[in-house]
Amino acid sequence: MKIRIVHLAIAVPAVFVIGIGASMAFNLWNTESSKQPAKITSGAFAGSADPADIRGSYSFGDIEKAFGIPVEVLARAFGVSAEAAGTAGLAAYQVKNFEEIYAGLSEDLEVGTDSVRWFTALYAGLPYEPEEEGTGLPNTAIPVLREAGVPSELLDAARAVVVELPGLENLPAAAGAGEAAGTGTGSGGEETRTIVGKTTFGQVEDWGVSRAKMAEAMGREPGPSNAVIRDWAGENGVEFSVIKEALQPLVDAAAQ
Amino acid sequence: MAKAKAKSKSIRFVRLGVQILFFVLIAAISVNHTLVENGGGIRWLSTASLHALCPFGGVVSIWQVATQATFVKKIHESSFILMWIGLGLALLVGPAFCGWACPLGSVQEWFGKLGRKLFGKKYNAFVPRRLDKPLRYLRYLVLAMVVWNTARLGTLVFETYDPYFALFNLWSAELAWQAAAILAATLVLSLFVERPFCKYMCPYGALQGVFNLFRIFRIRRVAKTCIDCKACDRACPMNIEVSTSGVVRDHQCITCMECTSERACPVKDTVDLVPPGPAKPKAALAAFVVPLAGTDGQGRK
Ligand code: SF4
Ligand code: SF4
Repeated sequence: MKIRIVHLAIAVPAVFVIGIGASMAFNLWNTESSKQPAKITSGAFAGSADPADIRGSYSFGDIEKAFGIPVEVLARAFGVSAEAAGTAGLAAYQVKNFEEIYAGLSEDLEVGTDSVRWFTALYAGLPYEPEEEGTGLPNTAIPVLREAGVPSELLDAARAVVVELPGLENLPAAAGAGEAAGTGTGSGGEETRTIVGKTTFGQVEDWGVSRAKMAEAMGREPGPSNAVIRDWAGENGVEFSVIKEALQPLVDAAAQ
Repeated sequence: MAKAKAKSKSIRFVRLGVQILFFVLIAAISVNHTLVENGGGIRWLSTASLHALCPFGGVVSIWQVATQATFVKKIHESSFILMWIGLGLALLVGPAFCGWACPLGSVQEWFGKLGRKLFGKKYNAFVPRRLDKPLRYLRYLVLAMVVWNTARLGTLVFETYDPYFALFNLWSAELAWQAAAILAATLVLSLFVERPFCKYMCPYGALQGVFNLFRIFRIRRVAKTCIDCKACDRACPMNIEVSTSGVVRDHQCITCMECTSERACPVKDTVDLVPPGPAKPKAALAAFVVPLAGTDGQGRK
């Protein structure tokens, strides 16, 4: 048996066609970024998605998926109206747009991808130092962060680099942002049961996790139902991220 | 003695046709990618970036995938799939990717045709053996450095120097001057030496080349019918001395089939791509360590 030139001429393209075709059939062929951020590798937050890995090509939907921040919250924080997002919708709105549409709003501050990274970190209670000196946050982000229960010293740091956005009257109504007792995200909606800064133990109970299960996962009795988990953790000398990591899988399991 | 046979003239265009197919496809997708980014483009054609279509992207991402379950920035699942396809093909028939599909390999070969016209028999025999022999291992060093630095920094470090990326991004703002300079040097050198980048620098070629040691189908010369005319040696773009090999295990073979009885060898059934005979692992190792021993590195004795 020998392989002839013609055999190779058929086999080489065929191997690629069959290989690519099979991977497409199994939904494995993907030529675009998976929008799956790298994990934080060390410290108390090891294993959590790293906001530093958010790239310009990320959409609001990608950030919601990776960090549990609802699309509407991101849109409100960054002053993006549904009309501005166009027919593709807010979920498909890409972070890299900010560098263009908010260019020149301030002489020394810029609202861009790094602003989104920082906002995401603040909102989700994750560590992040803005990469660029001139990284600013839009004024619209401040109330969102406050409502999410971001500690005052971090909020002050954010306030110090606020960039005023024009045309705020066009912003979408924030879908009950900050009021929803049924979510930990501060934005309403059953789908986004993520433990964030202002989530209380009571909310976690509402999401179907019994106090006994919480105690088992945390290795100690949970705080009172009306206690904000972050505050309670601080008072009891426990890292918020540790409690979050223990409870979030229970919340996710209860939601299924 | 076996008879010399008349060769089909059209067979020489078969590999060229496959090379053109891959070249045009990759070029079209690259242009389409740029057009789409600027609001235009052809809908039915893939809009993938060149990174998404590069099997080497999968290779350099291995460490990050293994340790963090994520890809290096700009690399996607498709690069990984292409990597496995390329390696699977190499396991079967050696670096056929290089000889048949890689557009950078093809474009060097096409420039080489011009060099052959200019320099005749001198073409592809300019590099002195002493220099050529060690330089052929340089690509393994490049491979190690690229993989190590990509793992360390988590970014596509080779992009800045990659002539393949430059070739299809000449019009793009992403083009780095270093990559453009390496591409230009490669094309100029191709007028003197066949496939200079493949021989001395290409990290993916290096990885593919290793498969020559244990590929399933290999180039075999039948000594009994060989008339020792050395036509196979002269035809080999990688200067491999086929005329003294039983089985070609040289790490630089690209399975181009130019040496075979269908092309250069004038005797039927004497040099062919065939499945394995009895295994000779020691011979495989020796072939890697002293691939050009006994020759001047250009296939001459
Ligand atoms: S050695 Fe590198 S450049 Fe040459 S054909 Fe192979 S992959 Fe392409
Ligand atoms: S001519 Fe023969 S030995 Fe040389 S690279 Fe091509 S297939 Fe390999």
